[in-house]
Amino acid sequence: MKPFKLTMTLDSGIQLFEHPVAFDALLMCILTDKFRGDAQRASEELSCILKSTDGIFHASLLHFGVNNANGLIASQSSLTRKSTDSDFEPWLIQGNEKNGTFPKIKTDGGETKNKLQIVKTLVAPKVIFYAHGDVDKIKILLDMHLIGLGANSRRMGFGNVSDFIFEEIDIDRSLLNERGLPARRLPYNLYQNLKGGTGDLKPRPVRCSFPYYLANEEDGVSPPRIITEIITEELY
Amino acid sequence: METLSVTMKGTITAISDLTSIRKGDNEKFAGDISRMPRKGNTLDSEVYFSAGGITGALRTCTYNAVIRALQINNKDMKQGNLNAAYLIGSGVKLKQVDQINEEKYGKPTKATEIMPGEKNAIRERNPFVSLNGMWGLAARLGIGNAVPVDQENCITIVGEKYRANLAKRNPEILESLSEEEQKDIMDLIVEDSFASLDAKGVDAEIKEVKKELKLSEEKDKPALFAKLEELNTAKTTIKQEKKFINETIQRPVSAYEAIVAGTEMRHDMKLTGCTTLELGILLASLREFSRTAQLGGHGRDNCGEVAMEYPVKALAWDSYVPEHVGTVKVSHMDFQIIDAAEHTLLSDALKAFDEAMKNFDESGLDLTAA
Repeated sequence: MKPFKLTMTLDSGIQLFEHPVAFDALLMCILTDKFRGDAQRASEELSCILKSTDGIFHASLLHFGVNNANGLIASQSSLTRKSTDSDFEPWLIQGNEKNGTFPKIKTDGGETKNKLQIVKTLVAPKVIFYAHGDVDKIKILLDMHLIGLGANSRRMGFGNVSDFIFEEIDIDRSLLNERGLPARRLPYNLYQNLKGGTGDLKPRPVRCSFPYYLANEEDGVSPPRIITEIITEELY
Repeated sequence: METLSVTMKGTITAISDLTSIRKGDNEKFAGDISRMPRKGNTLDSEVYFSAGGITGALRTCTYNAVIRALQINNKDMKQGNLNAAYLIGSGVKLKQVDQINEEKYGKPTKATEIMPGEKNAIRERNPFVSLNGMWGLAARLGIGNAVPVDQENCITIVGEKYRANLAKRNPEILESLSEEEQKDIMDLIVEDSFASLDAKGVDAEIKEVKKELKLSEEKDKPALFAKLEELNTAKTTIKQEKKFINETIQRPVSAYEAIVAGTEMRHDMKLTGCTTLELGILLASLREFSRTAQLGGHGRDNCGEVAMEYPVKALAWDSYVPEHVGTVKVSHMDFQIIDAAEHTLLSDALKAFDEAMKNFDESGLDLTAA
């Protein structure tokens, strides 16, 4: 296992969830799908490919990679599906009504209505994760399974990513970033240990342990929901 | 159950101009023509063909492929009803579906209380919905945007035209009509021209009132809202009073942006934790898609014809060594599976689908299981 930095090209605007995308949760999601919903087995596999300390995986939250020419911009898009005549051709639908007639389909309201939802997205040239783990296995997992990040990424094309660049680095940045700020949610004790007892962030209730949606809140520190990082030109 | 992960990383080539309009995206370029989805907010941002357009086309093809196969095998078409059409074709569960499933398979657990294996049972009964997903059941198939490789020369503007009145364009059709009908057509032409002029005046007034509303104080607003309501009614009345049709026939049709014919786009599809049958359903959907090989809108303007080519890699559930298993090629009226040496996964998967359709009644598959 080695510390690494993963940079991906963001091909379309990303629709963020309420909580930021965490790299360990992303891998867990991929593994759960790979093992057809077997969360126990996925969890065991995750422990084999990612390093952890005190139950906290060495995996950062999503960082947006920006540069002077391309910053982080807010954009918007929509989700819609229009019913067309070809959806209701007689050979596709059986007449279940009296005398084999077709049911009336209401397209201006109710369940069969068009749905149009405006969604807010964020756009940046790159997205970055830091982690400490088995680079070869993680590379194959992402290459074989990952289409995009955030909401509506697997079917509707939001947050599509490509060009996965893995760089092995000397210092593990998955817990604390270059500026010494948390790169992921950390329990307060671990944060102070990593900072040598000089951490100046105040503790607040956060969900640090995995899986986050089931975990209890404990004293900890958390980075902001949206983290940006200046990327160097060599990546282009 | 042994499962597979399959990656199809390939290209989509636009044979004719290709367009996809997302309403919300166009708000960024308000007042402009219909634009393609873009990564950013400016016209020079990276353009792409939205995954939604491909997802919709493929899931419709899944349903069509199943119904076609059932018809070919003379199966009971009770399976192909409205519930299944919406469930597989749109991922929408109509109200009666829950009741049907409760009668067949017992009461489902609440969405907040996950029962281990319950979702896998749905996936096994209905691999068609497992592949494409529905509310509460993630799709096995992930589909990405199609991104033009050369972003410099991939966009064109097409479709600008003027809709003429048939009788004005071809006056000879009047000769075949009765005197009364000829008079009607002349009335229609006059009415068409004047109605649009009247509506134009009302539209201008509506615009003015809306502007006033923004600047006015609270106490003046009710009167302005009443005026707006009055004008809207007047506009509707103008349309309703027309003898022949509500909308104007003669008018310019605006242009739209499209990906230019010949553009090559990189495109990914990834199947996660799927069974051989689910892979077979995807291949059958692509086979069905090859009947038209058309994506996006404006088909009448000859837009949307595409050719696809995907080298396919597969990864067994217990392995970290992906293997190249073959190539899938799709174009208009042409569908090819080229198995890699010593691999028959793709052909076997398609065979599994065809066999399942042949033995549908005994297979335990259910198009409305959800």
